[in-house]
Amino acid sequence: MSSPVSASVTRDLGALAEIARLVDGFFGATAAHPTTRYPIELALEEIFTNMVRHNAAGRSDIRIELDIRDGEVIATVTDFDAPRFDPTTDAPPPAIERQLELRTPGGLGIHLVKKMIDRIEYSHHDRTATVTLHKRAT
Amino acid sequence: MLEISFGANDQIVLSGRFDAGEAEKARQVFLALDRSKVVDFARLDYISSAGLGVLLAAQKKLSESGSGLKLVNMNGHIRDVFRFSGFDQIFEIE
Repeated sequence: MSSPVSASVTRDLGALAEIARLVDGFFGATAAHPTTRYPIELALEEIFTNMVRHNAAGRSDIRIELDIRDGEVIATVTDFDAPRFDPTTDAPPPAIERQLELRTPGGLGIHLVKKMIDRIEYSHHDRTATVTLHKRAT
Repeated sequence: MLEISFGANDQIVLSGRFDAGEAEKARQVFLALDRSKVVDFARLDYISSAGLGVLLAAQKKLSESGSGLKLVNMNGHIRDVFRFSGFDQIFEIE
Protein backbone atom coordinates (compact mmCIF):
# COMPACT_ATOMS: atom_id res chain seq x y z
CA MET A 1 0.00 0.00 0.00
CA SER A 2 1.35 3.40 -0.92
CA SER A 3 1.13 6.60 1.07
CA PRO A 4 -0.65 9.65 -0.28
CA VAL A 5 1.55 11.94 -2.35
CA SER A 6 1.08 15.62 -3.08
CA ALA A 7 2.75 18.62 -4.66
CA SER A 8 2.05 22.31 -5.02
CA VAL A 9 2.87 23.45 -8.54
CA THR A 10 3.02 26.80 -10.26
CA ARG A 11 0.15 27.97 -12.45
CA ASP A 12 2.06 27.24 -15.65
CA LEU A 13 1.92 24.47 -18.27
CA GLY A 14 5.60 23.88 -17.56
CA ALA A 15 4.44 22.27 -14.30
CA LEU A 16 3.00 19.33 -16.26
CA ALA A 17 6.40 17.63 -16.15
CA GLU A 18 6.38 17.86 -12.34
CA ILE A 19 2.83 16.45 -12.23
CA ALA A 20 3.93 13.57 -14.48
CA ARG A 21 6.78 12.81 -12.06
CA LEU A 22 4.35 12.83 -9.14
CA VAL A 23 2.07 10.37 -10.97
CA ASP A 24 5.09 8.24 -11.86
CA GLY A 25 6.18 8.01 -8.23
CA PHE A 26 2.68 7.27 -6.98
CA PHE A 27 1.99 4.44 -9.43
CA GLY A 28 5.46 3.05 -8.94
CA ALA A 29 4.64 2.45 -5.28
CA THR A 30 0.95 1.57 -5.36
CA ALA A 31 -1.09 -1.59 -5.76
CA ALA A 32 -3.42 0.15 -8.23
CA HIS A 33 -3.67 -1.67 -11.54
CA PRO A 34 -1.34 -0.11 -14.14
CA THR A 35 -4.28 0.55 -16.47
CA THR A 36 -5.57 3.08 -13.92
CA ARG A 37 -2.59 5.30 -14.54
CA TYR A 38 -3.42 6.69 -17.99
CA PRO A 39 -6.93 7.89 -17.09
CA ILE A 40 -5.66 9.53 -13.90
CA GLU A 41 -2.70 11.15 -15.65
CA LEU A 42 -4.89 12.46 -18.44
CA ALA A 43 -7.58 13.73 -16.06
CA LEU A 44 -5.00 15.56 -13.93
CA GLU A 45 -3.56 17.25 -17.01
CA GLU A 46 -6.95 18.27 -18.39
CA ILE A 47 -8.23 19.65 -15.07
CA PHE A 48 -4.93 21.41 -14.34
CA THR A 49 -4.65 22.99 -17.81
CA ASN A 50 -8.27 24.07 -17.55
CA MET A 51 -7.49 25.88 -14.30
CA VAL A 52 -4.37 27.48 -15.77
CA ARG A 53 -6.05 28.67 -18.96
CA HIS A 54 -9.34 29.84 -17.50
CA ASN A 55 -7.89 31.40 -14.37
CA ALA A 56 -4.48 32.69 -15.40
CA ALA A 57 -4.80 35.60 -12.96
CA GLY A 58 -5.12 33.31 -9.93
CA ARG A 59 -2.50 34.16 -7.32
CA SER A 60 -2.02 30.79 -5.62
CA ASP A 61 -0.16 27.67 -6.63
CA ILE A 62 -2.27 24.63 -7.51
CA ARG A 63 -2.15 21.56 -5.29
CA ILE A 64 -2.23 18.01 -6.64
CA GLU A 65 -2.84 15.01 -4.36
CA LEU A 66 -2.99 11.30 -5.11
CA ASP A 67 -4.21 8.60 -2.77
CA ILE A 68 -5.64 5.11 -2.88
CA ARG A 69 -8.56 4.36 -0.54
CA ASP A 70 -11.31 1.75 -0.49
CA GLY A 71 -10.22 0.29 -3.80
CA GLU A 72 -10.14 3.64 -5.60
CA VAL A 73 -7.41 5.92 -6.81
CA ILE A 74 -8.45 9.40 -5.72
CA ALA A 75 -6.80 12.40 -7.37
CA THR A 76 -7.51 15.90 -6.11
CA VAL A 77 -6.70 19.21 -7.81
CA THR A 78 -7.15 22.37 -5.73
CA ASP A 79 -6.97 25.98 -6.88
CA PHE A 80 -6.95 28.30 -3.85
CA ASP A 81 -7.80 31.46 -5.78
CA ALA A 82 -10.49 30.66 -8.33
CA PRO A 83 -13.90 31.87 -9.43
CA ARG A 84 -16.62 29.26 -9.53
CA PHE A 85 -16.42 27.08 -12.65
CA ASP A 86 -17.62 23.52 -12.42
CA PRO A 87 -16.04 21.65 -15.32
CA THR A 88 -18.50 18.79 -14.90
CA THR A 89 -21.49 21.01 -15.66
CA ASP A 90 -20.26 24.35 -17.02
CA ALA A 91 -18.01 23.13 -19.84
CA PRO A 92 -19.77 22.91 -23.22
CA PRO A 93 -19.78 19.40 -24.70
CA PRO A 94 -17.78 18.85 -27.88
CA ALA A 95 -19.58 17.88 -31.07
CA ILE A 96 -17.74 14.63 -31.62
CA GLU A 97 -19.90 13.39 -34.48
CA ARG A 98 -19.14 16.30 -36.76
CA GLN A 99 -17.13 15.92 -39.92
CA LEU A 100 -13.50 17.05 -40.04
CA GLU A 101 -14.18 20.54 -41.40
CA LEU A 102 -16.47 21.33 -38.47
CA ARG A 103 -14.43 19.78 -35.67
CA THR A 104 -12.73 21.98 -33.10
CA PRO A 105 -10.61 20.86 -30.14
CA GLY A 106 -12.75 22.88 -27.71
CA GLY A 107 -14.35 20.90 -24.91
CA LEU A 108 -12.48 17.71 -25.71
CA GLY A 109 -10.43 17.62 -22.51
CA ILE A 110 -13.34 17.56 -20.07
CA HIS A 111 -15.19 15.17 -22.36
CA LEU A 112 -12.26 12.74 -22.15
CA VAL A 113 -12.14 13.09 -18.35
CA LYS A 114 -15.81 12.20 -18.11
CA LYS A 115 -15.27 9.18 -20.36
CA MET A 116 -12.23 7.83 -18.53
CA ILE A 117 -12.92 8.63 -14.87
CA ASP A 118 -15.59 6.85 -12.82
CA ARG A 119 -16.73 9.80 -10.71
CA ILE A 120 -15.89 13.53 -10.59
CA GLU A 121 -16.75 15.87 -7.71
CA TYR A 122 -16.46 19.64 -7.67
CA SER A 123 -16.59 22.01 -4.71
CA HIS A 124 -16.08 25.77 -4.39
CA HIS A 125 -15.85 27.65 -1.10
CA ASP A 126 -14.19 30.99 -0.36
CA ARG A 127 -12.48 31.03 -3.79
CA THR A 128 -11.05 27.55 -3.27
CA ALA A 129 -12.05 25.22 -6.10
CA THR A 130 -11.46 21.49 -5.70
CA VAL A 131 -11.93 18.80 -8.33
CA THR A 132 -11.80 15.23 -7.01
CA LEU A 133 -11.42 12.32 -9.42
CA HIS A 134 -12.27 8.74 -8.50
CA LYS A 135 -11.09 5.72 -10.51
CA ARG A 136 -11.44 2.08 -9.50
CA ALA A 137 -7.96 0.81 -8.68
CA THR A 138 -8.40 -2.69 -10.15
CA MET B 1 9.03 15.25 -23.04
CA LEU B 2 8.01 14.76 -26.65
CA GLU B 3 10.51 13.86 -29.33
CA ILE B 4 9.63 14.23 -33.00
CA SER B 5 11.89 12.65 -35.59
CA PHE B 6 11.73 11.46 -39.17
CA GLY B 7 12.18 7.73 -39.63
CA ALA B 8 12.26 5.25 -42.47
CA ASN B 9 10.14 6.12 -45.52
CA ASP B 10 9.89 9.70 -44.25
CA GLN B 11 7.54 8.67 -41.45
CA ILE B 12 7.11 11.02 -38.51
CA VAL B 13 8.10 9.18 -35.32
CA LEU B 14 6.67 10.42 -32.02
CA SER B 15 8.26 9.39 -28.71
CA GLY B 16 7.33 10.19 -25.12
CA ARG B 17 4.49 12.40 -23.95
CA PHE B 18 2.37 14.60 -26.21
CA ASP B 19 0.86 16.91 -23.58
CA ALA B 20 -0.11 20.58 -23.35
CA GLY B 21 3.45 21.52 -22.41
CA GLU B 22 4.77 20.07 -25.68
CA ALA B 23 1.94 21.06 -28.00
CA GLU B 24 3.41 24.29 -29.33
CA LYS B 25 6.63 22.59 -30.41
CA ALA B 26 4.64 19.90 -32.20
CA ARG B 27 2.29 22.43 -33.78
CA GLN B 28 5.23 24.04 -35.59
CA VAL B 29 6.25 20.69 -37.08
CA PHE B 30 2.79 19.45 -38.02
CA LEU B 31 1.49 22.71 -39.48
CA ALA B 32 4.56 22.92 -41.72
CA LEU B 33 3.60 19.67 -43.48
CA ASP B 34 2.47 20.04 -47.07
CA ARG B 35 1.75 16.44 -48.06
CA SER B 36 0.41 13.19 -46.64
CA LYS B 37 2.46 11.56 -43.89
CA VAL B 38 2.48 8.39 -41.82
CA VAL B 39 2.88 9.12 -38.10
CA ASP B 40 4.32 6.28 -36.02
CA PHE B 41 2.94 6.16 -32.47
CA ALA B 42 4.85 3.03 -31.38
CA ARG B 43 7.04 4.96 -28.94
CA LEU B 44 4.41 7.47 -27.87
CA ASP B 45 3.29 6.71 -24.31
CA TYR B 46 0.69 9.40 -23.82
CA ILE B 47 -1.46 11.97 -25.58
CA SER B 48 -3.97 14.46 -24.15
CA SER B 49 -6.53 16.76 -25.75
CA ALA B 50 -3.75 19.28 -26.43
CA GLY B 51 -2.00 16.72 -28.66
CA LEU B 52 -5.26 15.87 -30.36
CA GLY B 53 -5.76 19.56 -31.10
CA VAL B 54 -2.42 19.74 -32.92
CA LEU B 55 -3.18 16.68 -35.02
CA LEU B 56 -6.67 17.99 -35.80
CA ALA B 57 -5.27 21.32 -37.02
CA ALA B 58 -2.76 19.50 -39.24
CA GLN B 59 -5.40 17.16 -40.64
CA LYS B 60 -7.68 20.10 -41.49
CA LYS B 61 -4.87 21.96 -43.26
CA LEU B 62 -3.75 18.89 -45.22
CA SER B 63 -7.30 17.99 -46.22
CA GLU B 64 -7.56 21.24 -48.15
CA SER B 65 -5.13 19.76 -50.68
CA GLY B 66 -6.58 16.26 -50.53
CA SER B 67 -3.81 15.03 -48.21
CA GLY B 68 -3.88 13.69 -44.66
CA LEU B 69 -2.16 11.92 -41.79
CA LYS B 70 -2.16 8.16 -41.34
CA LEU B 71 -1.55 7.13 -37.72
CA VAL B 72 0.03 3.75 -36.98
CA ASN B 73 1.05 1.60 -34.01
CA MET B 74 -1.02 3.25 -31.25
CA ASN B 75 -1.09 1.69 -27.81
CA GLY B 76 -4.46 0.71 -26.35
CA HIS B 77 -4.92 3.77 -24.14
CA ILE B 78 -4.17 6.17 -26.97
CA ARG B 79 -6.56 4.26 -29.22
CA ASP B 80 -9.23 4.74 -26.54
CA VAL B 81 -8.54 8.48 -26.47
CA PHE B 82 -9.04 8.67 -30.24
CA ARG B 83 -12.22 6.61 -30.04
CA PHE B 84 -13.73 8.61 -27.16
CA SER B 85 -12.99 11.81 -29.09
CA GLY B 86 -14.47 10.59 -32.35
CA PHE B 87 -11.04 11.15 -33.89
CA ASP B 88 -11.03 7.55 -35.12
CA GLN B 89 -13.55 8.83 -37.69
CA ILE B 90 -11.39 11.66 -39.02
CA PHE B 91 -7.98 9.96 -39.18
CA GLU B 92 -6.87 6.82 -40.96
CA ILE B 93 -5.64 4.62 -38.09
CA GLU B 94 -3.81 1.34 -38.56
